[in-house]
Amino acid sequence: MHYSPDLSAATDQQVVEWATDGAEAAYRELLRRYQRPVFSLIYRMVRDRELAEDLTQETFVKVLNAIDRYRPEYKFSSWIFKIANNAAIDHLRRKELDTLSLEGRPDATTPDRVEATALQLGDGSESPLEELEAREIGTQIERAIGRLRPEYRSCIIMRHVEGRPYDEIAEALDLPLGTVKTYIHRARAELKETLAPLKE
Amino acid sequence: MEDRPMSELTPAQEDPAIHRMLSTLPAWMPGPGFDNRVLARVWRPHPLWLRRVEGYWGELVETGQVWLIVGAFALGSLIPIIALTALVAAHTAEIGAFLGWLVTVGIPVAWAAVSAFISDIVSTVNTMASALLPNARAVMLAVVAYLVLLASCAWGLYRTMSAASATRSSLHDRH
Repeated sequence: MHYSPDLSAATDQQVVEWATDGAEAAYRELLRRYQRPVFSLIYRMVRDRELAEDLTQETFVKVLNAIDRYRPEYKFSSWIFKIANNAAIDHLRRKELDTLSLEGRPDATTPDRVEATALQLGDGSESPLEELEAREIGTQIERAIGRLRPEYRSCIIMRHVEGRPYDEIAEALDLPLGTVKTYIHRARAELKETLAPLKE
Repeated sequence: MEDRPMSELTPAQEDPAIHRMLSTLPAWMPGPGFDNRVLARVWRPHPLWLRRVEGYWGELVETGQVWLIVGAFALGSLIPIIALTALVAAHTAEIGAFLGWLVTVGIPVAWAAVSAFISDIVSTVNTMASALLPNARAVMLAVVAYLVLLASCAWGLYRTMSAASATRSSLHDRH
């Protein structure tokens, strides 16, 4: 048996190997490592907390139920991001919500629904003025990201928010490396244009 | 600055302005209990050794080889029975005489020897205890009482742990 008590120090490949042997601790470790980045990516794509949680859950269920079919020559992170991104893109295509409002989904009719579907910014650790300022800046940035095409949005989030390398983004999004670079370049240009007033 | 290909630069080196803005964005977390909700819908595979056994068994069933193995086992267990029956049938008179001797002489002699051995041990222990302690009977009673108490404690502990385990299982099932 290759169970190790120190799962947090293990590589993704090792944790997956233990998971394929049925170890619950290994499943929990994969969830611990990836729930934040996967949820953040999906949430920024669909802009609805409830829906993002459902899609994140679907992503993990799909990945963990197929863990024995995972091929170690690929990065685990690429695999899970690919499934997460596909889930988000499929949803956006189905609902035609390519451009979403930061103040909530367009179909949100009640105040509760508007609140539930709006991105919650600021963690409350700053002073009221700083928080207000940070919220305002964060809102502008999130709004600018929300205006990007979904493909650009995934690329730029994975590169600059999650800090993933180009080859991993290309693998995760099933795109040629050159296309990923182009998308990121265009996304940056669009963001710069939209966010130019913030620099002043 | 060193001229490196784009893919080798960090996101911050590629576009510091954009990176500075995007890296300030908060990270989102799903609601509490998310991992439990996911795990409730995940089927965990059996341990590797069990899957191997299942795999071999499935292969045997699929190829029909399982019947060959079951047949070989059945035949293998029949051979000693047939051999023993044949042996008994060929030597009925000798076996009958041996069984008669066993009932009339062998078993009574063996029983007498075993009971003599046991009573010998008991009397030796009793003599030794009497020699060592003036009131051996009281000490033996105390030892027996202590053993009974110990057994009761163990039983009580076992019952408590079983009840706790049953409560845990029912909570898990409900969850």
